[in-house]
Amino acid sequence: MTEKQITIALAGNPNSGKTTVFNNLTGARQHVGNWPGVTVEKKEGRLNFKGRRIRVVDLPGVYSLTAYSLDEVIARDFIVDESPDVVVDVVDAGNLERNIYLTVQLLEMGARVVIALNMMDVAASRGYRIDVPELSRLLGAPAVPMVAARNQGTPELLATILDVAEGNLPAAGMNLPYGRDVEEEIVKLEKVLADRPGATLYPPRWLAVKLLEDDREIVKKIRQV
Amino acid sequence: MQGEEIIRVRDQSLAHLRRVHGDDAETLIADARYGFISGLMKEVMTKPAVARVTATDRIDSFVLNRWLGIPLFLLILYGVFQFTFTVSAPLIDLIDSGLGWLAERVVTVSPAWLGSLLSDGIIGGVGAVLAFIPVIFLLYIALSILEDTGYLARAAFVMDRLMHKIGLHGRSFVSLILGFGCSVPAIMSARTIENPSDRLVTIMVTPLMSCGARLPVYALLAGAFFTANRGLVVFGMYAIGVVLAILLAWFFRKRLVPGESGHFVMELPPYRLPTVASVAAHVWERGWAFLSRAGTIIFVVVLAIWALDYFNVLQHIGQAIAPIFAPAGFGQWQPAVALVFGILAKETVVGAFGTLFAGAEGTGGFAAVLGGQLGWTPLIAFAFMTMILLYTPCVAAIGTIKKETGSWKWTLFTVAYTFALGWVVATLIYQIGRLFI
Amino acid sequence: MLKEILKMFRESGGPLDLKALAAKLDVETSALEGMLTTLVRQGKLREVEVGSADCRACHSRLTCAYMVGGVSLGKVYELPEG
Repeated sequence: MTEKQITIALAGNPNSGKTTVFNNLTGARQHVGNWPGVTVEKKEGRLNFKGRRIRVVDLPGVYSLTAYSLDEVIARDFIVDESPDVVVDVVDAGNLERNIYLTVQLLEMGARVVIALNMMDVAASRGYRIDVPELSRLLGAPAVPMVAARNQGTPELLATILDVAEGNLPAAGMNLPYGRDVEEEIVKLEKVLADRPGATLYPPRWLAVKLLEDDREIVKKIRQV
Repeated sequence: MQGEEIIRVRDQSLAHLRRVHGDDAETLIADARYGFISGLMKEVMTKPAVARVTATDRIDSFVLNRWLGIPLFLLILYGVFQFTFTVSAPLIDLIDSGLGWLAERVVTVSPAWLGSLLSDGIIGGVGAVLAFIPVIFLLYIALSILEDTGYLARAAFVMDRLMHKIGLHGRSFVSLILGFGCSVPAIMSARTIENPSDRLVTIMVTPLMSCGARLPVYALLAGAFFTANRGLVVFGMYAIGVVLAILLAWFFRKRLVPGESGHFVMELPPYRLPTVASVAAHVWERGWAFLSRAGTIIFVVVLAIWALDYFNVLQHIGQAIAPIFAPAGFGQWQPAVALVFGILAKETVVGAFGTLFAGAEGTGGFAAVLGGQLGWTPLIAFAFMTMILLYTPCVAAIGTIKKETGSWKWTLFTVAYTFALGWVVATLIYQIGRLFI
Repeated sequence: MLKEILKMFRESGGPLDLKALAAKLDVETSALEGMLTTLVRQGKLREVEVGSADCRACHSRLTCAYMVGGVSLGKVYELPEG
């Protein structure tokens, strides 16, 4: 019996070791192309793990998911349009605070996130100690410590990805609280968006937040209805 | 509900939030994220009690120290000049003797005017400037090293802190420091200063930051009259320029409409060892530019000087102007002429002396000629150097000022004030110095 | 957080060092860079690159013998005027 292929998207900051993780996962089975209509490089690869076929799509390295940069729009459009089974967020443990900014935005999009907590060696060399289970708990996403440069943690990462894809491990994410006044407006907008004809591709809360942020792309999409 | 209506509801929400919180929802939302993450970090991450102090931090505790910072900068700059001039001196003399030998061979070429053109004009004039290649190269090696190590960023940071205390624009010195190379890009970099008064003031004092073209002049005169202390004297020139730039900037700022001083945040890159490759690349680029400049504008100007001298016109022009400079100690026609041509390109002052005193060999030779023929003393040489430092910038700089300010008024004002400043300071130095020496 | 950053800009007694500012706000330096970028995108700060970029585009480049090729300070952030 052939099971459905699992698609995972690889997200993360530039310089987080995302490419190394990608190479560790796919080895020689990658090919390079372009994202449609733009000159931004798109890398894809394949692997088999525990009898499952896994397709890996490398998203452009980004610090956030706003409409201010083409790379960011490409990354988030892929997640929305193709709804990958898992989004692996490669996080640089040595710059955790900055990297988590992207993680939070992925979670708000409703993506099923597995955090690849990379560069643990760098963090250790600086004397950092990270409570990985607590990090997982607070973000609502499993985190896998790794040192991709030494190919450490890859099997554990794959196992976690599989668990999430098959529904054995929850990756429900979280909703960041924005304060009472903003939350009230979010609820108002969610109601209004629910009446909107057209696809409910995006989580309503996420749409509401983007509208309040005056996200150029989302506003354009909403206007077109 | 239709799209446009949704946007309208959204706009009402934004207006409401702006009323209640006085800020865009975008900012409130971003802040909430940052706050959440900050809190999460405290729960999840422990950092060592004492943050690892890097080598960069340790060095910076001296370099950025409010008391040590500026003296250290001055010391480093002084060291750079000492090194540059001491090491280049024998090389300059070597080139000079080589040129002298060549000139002797060539002067006998006939016809006579050609012999004179080649030996006095080209070898004597342009050659004199080219003799200072070692100085240029060494100085730019030193500055490239400073730049690549990351130190120059600290220097700008420390000086800007001082500027800010005096009430000047936060980022002026960062712009001015480019003037140590050439005023033209320094003036253009002031474009990034938004406040028009700040930008104008920065542009107007940029020429006082001694540019690289003046270096051969200092090298020649300091080498001739202050041999043992030449590094110190040249350092003194740069220092006078910087001090006056700051004073005048402060003074202009008071007269012009005062605005709010800029504030800025800057990333100080970590210190690193410069690579031979990058330093070599910088130096090659600049060295080549120097040579091409010598081959073009300096060549043309020196030729003009030679021609005017050969046909006995130059002396008359010079003698008409010379009296202006008498109070400053250099009221002779040759320096007067040199100063005039120096407005075309500062290096031509050396070229002018080289042509007019062809036959003078090396800094020793010039000391003899200027001392003997013109009666120059070290004091006069110093006064003259200050004139070179301060007076009207070269035409390229003047043109850039006009282009960047868009105003003839301010351009001509700069031309005038710098000349006046140079004259006043040179005169003061000479007259007051005379009382003591 | 963003408001505090802008406040520190306005009240600064001179240029601020990125690392020192991050320490004051108790955030990682790279996190602060992210915040500064956010502020730049919102138009509340300007990002300026001084030196080398201008030199490379300068029309006087060939005749300018003495470019100190840009005191390349990397990024400088400042408050926009007005």
